[in-house]
Formats: sequence, structure tokens, C-alpha cells
Amino acid sequence: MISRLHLLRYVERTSVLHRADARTKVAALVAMVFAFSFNPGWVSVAIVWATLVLGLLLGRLPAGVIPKPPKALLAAMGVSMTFGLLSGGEPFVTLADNDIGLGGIILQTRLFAVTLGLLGLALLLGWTTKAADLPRAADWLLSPLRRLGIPTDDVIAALTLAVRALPLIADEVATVIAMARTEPKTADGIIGRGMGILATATVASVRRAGEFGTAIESRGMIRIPRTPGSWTGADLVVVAIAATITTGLVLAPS
Amino acid sequence: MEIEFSAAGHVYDVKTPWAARGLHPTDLRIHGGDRVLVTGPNGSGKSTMAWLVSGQIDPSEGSVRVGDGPASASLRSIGFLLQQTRLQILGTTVAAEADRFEMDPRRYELALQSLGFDETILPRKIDEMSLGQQRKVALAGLLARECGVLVLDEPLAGLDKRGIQQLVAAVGALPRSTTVMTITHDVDASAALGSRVISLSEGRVVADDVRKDDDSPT
Repeated sequence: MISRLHLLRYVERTSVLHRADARTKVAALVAMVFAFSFNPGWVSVAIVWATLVLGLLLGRLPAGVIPKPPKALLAAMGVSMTFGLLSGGEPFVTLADNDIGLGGIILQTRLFAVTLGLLGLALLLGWTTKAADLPRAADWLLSPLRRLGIPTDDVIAALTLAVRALPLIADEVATVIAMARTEPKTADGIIGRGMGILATATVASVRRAGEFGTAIESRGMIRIPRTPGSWTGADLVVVAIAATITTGLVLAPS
Repeated sequence: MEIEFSAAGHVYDVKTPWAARGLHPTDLRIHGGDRVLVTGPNGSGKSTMAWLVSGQIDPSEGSVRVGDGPASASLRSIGFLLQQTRLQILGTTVAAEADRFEMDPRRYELALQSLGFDETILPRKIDEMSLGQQRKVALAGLLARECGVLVLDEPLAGLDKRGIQQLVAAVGALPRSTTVMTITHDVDASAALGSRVISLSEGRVVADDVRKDDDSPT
């Protein structure tokens, strides 16, 4: 069945996370992701997953926001875990006189836990921050680079367009896949059909990009309003939590 | 093939904060071979009804039956012509589109001919064709498949007068057993595609009438 992807979908609430400025949340996310990426041990994984639970509670977000993983992803994870199990490695357990190495599957599990943790942090930002506020936050975050001659305006424009286009493209790709399922058996085989889906999805994406390009040509480059937002007590709460978590991630044993 | 809605309704993103009702529980029967127009303003539930009939989404309440089973079990018997036609053409040229299917190529060529194309269309690249031409190529694929149910979403949009005539004639030439459901904003322009008009508003069927000949535009 055709399923909808919930990318960067805001959940209307008035929680402390929602009230905090987008700049604070983006900066907090960047700090946590950097710390996590450099020290992705099991303790860090636990800290990040606890952060996600805390985020759901603080943001007063219902469990319904958590996306259901597509079957294809679950299948891919299953295959990957099987290879992980087959690769063996320490530690070993003995089962019916057979030594089974769990090293590979433990490593694979940690990889998934880290990836899903990072994805969860990004989703948390999307659930509590209006997509329209993200370019302004990115502009603020990147502004020091402007002094070094880096074309941050262009980077922000690209980011803005990507944020706008992502849900449209995701919807179109889902439609392409859905329509391909209705077709009779083709001579292409699975690989040929997969290539057809990929090509059509690419055409849809390129067409979207072309439409944005035309819009920029006729209306000029996107300008991000530099009006400063106001800081509130909610920002202080987010900064305090993010600082604690980031410190924990840095100091956690790897 | 008969289509039957039994208290069938649909809520998008059900059990999430983004839940939005597309169609209220609806009872509706479309007999095999009927030609039906479904109309209504934007957001009235037309597309939801089309996707339910196509079997691509399951109703969140009730059931939608196509033929002898649920619509989702009859995916390959139901042809669905999207408004965004390009998303359903996986071939890069018309010939490639024809080659993809394990069916009699003659049937596809006949379908193309019924829509006003000749063999010179075969090497044409899909992305160099107009929206109207792409729609006719996609429709030719559906006609050649001889689906039991054909769902057409705004099929006349982007077609010139001649293209409209060709499409109407091609649909009219379908076997009487083929059920055709046409989603349209403009009932008068689509009158030739069906005489029964189901009107939707805010996700509910508000009228279900059969047009008389003298209702048609002159």
C-alpha cells in the first residue's frame, strides 16, 4: 500500500521545545550530533535514546509521531544482521557444542542504534520546529563563515529549496513505486523494474529542481529574513539540557 | 467489474497527530460496465475515492470491493491514470514502454493508434512529449492491458480539442464490461465519459444522479 513519509512534519503544540527558538534547537542538535558521532559507544547510544524519550515527553508528543519502518528497511536490516551473525568474532557463546561469535551482530546492532538515534534527533527537531524557521536558523549558525568568503547565502538557498522539495519528492517517489506495483508482469525483471522506478523518480526530482530554478530566475535568489528572533526562558531550558547531554556524550566511555 | 463501497471511509495518517479525513464512511455501488463521473471541489474526497478504488490505499473503515474481492487484491485488474502521468511511465521512450510488457505488442500499437498516434511515435522520448501526449501514452498502456476497471484522474486536463476527442472515443470504444470511473472538476467537459455523476463535498457523497441527454452541453 502507498504510505506517506513524515519528513520534517511539525506537530502543533505549545511545549517548551516548541517555544524555543529554531536557532537554539538547531545549535543544540549540531552539538549533540557532533559529540555522538565522535564517541558512538554503547553509553552514548543509551544517552541519545534517553534524550529521545525525554524529547517526546518534553515536547508532549504522542507515540503516533514515531514512523513505522517500511518493510523493505526491516528486511534489509534482517539481511544485514544475518551477515553480522555469520561474520562471528568475540565474544563467543556455546550453543549445542557450537561456538557462535557474537562480535559481528553486536557491532551491527550498535550501528543501527547509532543511525536510528541520529535520525530520531533530526525527527525531534522536525516535530517541534516549523520547517519555515529552519533556513533562518541555518543562516544564523553559518553566518560566521560569511566573513571567510564562503557563499553561505547560496548554501542557505539550496537548503531552503531542499527542505521545501523533500516532502514533494518523497510523495512522488512513493507514487511511482505504488503505480509500478499495479503493472502486469514485465519483461524487465526485478532489476529492470527497479531501474525504471529509479529513473522515473530521478526525472520527478529533476523536474522539481527545474521548477525551483525557473522560480529563482524569475523572482531572484531566495532571501532569508535576518530579523532576529527573541530568546525566551524556553531557550535557556533547551541550552541547559543540550549542554548536559553533550557533556555526557563527550565524557562517556567509548 | 463491480465496485462496492460498504461504509468505506478513509483517514490519512490515522493514529498520528497529522490525521486528516479524506472520505467519510460511504455506501456506494457501481455496476460492472458503468461509466461514472466523480466530481467535487478541491479537498472533497475525489482523489481519496479514486485511490481506494485503485486498491493502493486500504480504507481505514469499512471495505471497498472490486469484482469478487477487496480492491487491494485486484491491483493488476485496475488501471489508474494519474493526473501526474509522468510518474506512471517507467520507460524512457514510447517503444521502451511497449517493450516492457509481456503482452501482444500489436495490442499496444492498436491502443496507441486509437489515441491518434502512428508508428513514428515509438522512438519519441517520453520527457520530450507534452503532458497531453504523455497522458495518452500512459492511457494506451492501460487500454492494452484490458483492465476490468479504469480510474481516470482528470484525464482531459492539458489536452487540446482533438486530444479530448481521441481520448473520449478511445474510452468509448472499450468493451461494455469495463467499468470506468472518471475524476473531474468539469462535469460538462467530461460528459461524454459518463452519464452517472457522483458529487462529493467535504468527504461525503452529496448527490448521485444520472444525467439525461438534454443535460449535456450542446
